[in-house]
Amino acid sequence: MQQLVQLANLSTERSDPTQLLAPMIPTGVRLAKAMLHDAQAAEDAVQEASLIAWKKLSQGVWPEKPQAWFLGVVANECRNARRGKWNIAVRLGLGDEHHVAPADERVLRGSDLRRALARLPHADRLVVVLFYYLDLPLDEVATTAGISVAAARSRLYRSVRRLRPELAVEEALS
Amino acid sequence: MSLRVDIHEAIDDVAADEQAIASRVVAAMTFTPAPVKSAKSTPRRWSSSLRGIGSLAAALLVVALIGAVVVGGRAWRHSTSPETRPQQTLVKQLEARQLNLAVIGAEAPCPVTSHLGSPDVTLAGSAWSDDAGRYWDMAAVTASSGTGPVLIRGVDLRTGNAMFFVGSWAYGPVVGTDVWDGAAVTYHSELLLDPSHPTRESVGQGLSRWTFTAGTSPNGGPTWCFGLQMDGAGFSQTVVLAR
Repeated sequence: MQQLVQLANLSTERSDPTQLLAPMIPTGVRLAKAMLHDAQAAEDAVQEASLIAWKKLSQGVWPEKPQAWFLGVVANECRNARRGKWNIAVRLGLGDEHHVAPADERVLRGSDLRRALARLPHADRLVVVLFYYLDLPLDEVATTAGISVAAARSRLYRSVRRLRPELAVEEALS
Repeated sequence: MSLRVDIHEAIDDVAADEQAIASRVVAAMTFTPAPVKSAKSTPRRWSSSLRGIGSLAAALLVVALIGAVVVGGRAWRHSTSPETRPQQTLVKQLEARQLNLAVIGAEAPCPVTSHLGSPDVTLAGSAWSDDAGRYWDMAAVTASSGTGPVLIRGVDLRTGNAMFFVGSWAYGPVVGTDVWDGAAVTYHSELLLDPSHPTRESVGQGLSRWTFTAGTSPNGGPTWCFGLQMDGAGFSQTVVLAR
């Protein structure tokens, strides 16, 4: 019976993209906020991502793993948003604040940690946010980022070393 | 403290009402009421960031002029090339199509459509207003592989007034002018999404996005019940929006 109910729900969702997308929006907002560190930019990114996702679903493109797929679209919009911001910064001639702490003071907290996250390349920042902030398991991180589990693990190692050089790898992935 | 906890705390410090944002995004998907923006907020956001940087503005103006000459020259060549003539004929045919947007009574419920468009064109937008009218900041998404132009026209379904369009894709006769945050804008009666346009915005996944503003004139008291008709080769689609 439960299977039948699930099938019925799936059937309803497939006929209404909004119904499928709506429960995933809050997670998309959290991802965008973590990637962009700006509420307005996050809202814009999720808005655009939702539009693109809705369009794809209405065309009959139903992904096997909807949440991972939707978060991937959000991540792509976040990358576009950051590109725009970077372009504006270049045009205005704004310099990037650069702060390097001594090796024994590399425990970053709060705004320092956000700044360090922001300096990570998009692909690295994405796996960090998915794993440490959205608390997704490694296989879902890999699916969302569109890479293999081994590649996701490798990116996490690399990113953690840049954020916390003193942290052991085992501890980092706990 | 673990890295996981530190990252949670660091990102949670970013002020954002996640629930409110999610609600607004879902509302935009279903065309339920969206938050009203301050008047002409989108143009203002751009200009305020540049205010006071006179020398930069002058430099940008020079670059813009050079760009306009280059783009204008290309556009002129494009518009006069033989291959664009069939396109112009098709646009004329689309313009000749009848509008299927019936005006309703002042008290009748707005016949909001439950869809955002069709597989050919999908719309989303948020509403805002000022003393002079009511507007939608909109985005249309089309397949990048679209083979022909899409013409969009609109009507205020309560007053019968035609909607106007502002932005790079505004098309057709100029029906009005205004000043938005110090910059002159022209209102056009139509919007044309031309997939062959070199400056269309690709958003990946085989899709193109076109952003524009649609609005109604103040004459007759604009309302929040708009109908848009999208015509392309082989399809005609209407969408009714309200807030």
